[in-house]
Amino acid sequence: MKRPFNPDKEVCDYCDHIMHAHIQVLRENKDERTWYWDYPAVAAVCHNDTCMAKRSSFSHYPSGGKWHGVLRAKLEEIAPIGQRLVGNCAEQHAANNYMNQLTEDDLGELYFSIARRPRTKEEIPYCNNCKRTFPNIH
Amino acid sequence: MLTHDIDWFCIVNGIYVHLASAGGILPLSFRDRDILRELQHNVAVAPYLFAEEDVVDNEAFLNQRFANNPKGRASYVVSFRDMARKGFVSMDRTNLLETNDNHYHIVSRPRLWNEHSIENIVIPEMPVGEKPELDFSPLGLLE
Repeated sequence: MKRPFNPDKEVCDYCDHIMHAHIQVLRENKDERTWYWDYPAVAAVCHNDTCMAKRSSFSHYPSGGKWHGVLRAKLEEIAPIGQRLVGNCAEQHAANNYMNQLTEDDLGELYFSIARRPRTKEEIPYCNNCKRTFPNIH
Repeated sequence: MLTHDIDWFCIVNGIYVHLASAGGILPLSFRDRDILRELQHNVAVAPYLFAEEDVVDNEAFLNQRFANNPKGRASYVVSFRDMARKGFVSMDRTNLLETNDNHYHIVSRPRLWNEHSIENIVIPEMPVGEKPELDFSPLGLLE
């Protein structure tokens, strides 16, 4: 039977994955379309209230990809995606993955791990854009 | 740059320096992606010049930042100690919350930080006038 996960353990494990992938990519000198050539500044996990479903992501510029309509509309109350750091955050990308892949339309059903810096696993405080966007980020 | 934690390298007053940008802005001279990626790859495949026991950490900074948090400290130093083993004084950007703040502090460095050379890697000199605020003061205190 599936058991609830610990969101902080999940994001720490994700940071470990990023670190290992980063090292491999650098050593193998893969071409520039590879993720993790540079460490992302932040990683985060978005999950439901029971910690039974989750999606992860990392900070990156919002080029390509499809933004969930509800999330896009909320983000664009701040600024168009791509301006004023809107659409860059790990939390926003994780939420987008969650909403798109798990068919969730309610921002109030989204919960987040501590955001961490993949290189060091330091805690990174949530930014004001994310606090404005997600009801469960304060 | 703001979404990534970029490893960049330079020589400052004869000192080999590694810097982790932590979402900050790189000096203009270091933003050529092709040059930087080649350098990052060359460092990644370079051999260790020093053993683990020949690397020293900035105890004053780490004690202040990670007092009573040995697990946090252990996670923090990993990549910087790795760079120190390759011969770099390894530095991190200090104020993660302010992307325009270009102060860097030493995290780890070779115990004998000024008695070696890094061969076969072309590392650029920091241009005069572009130097971020690098706190080298521990180099004297850690001997």
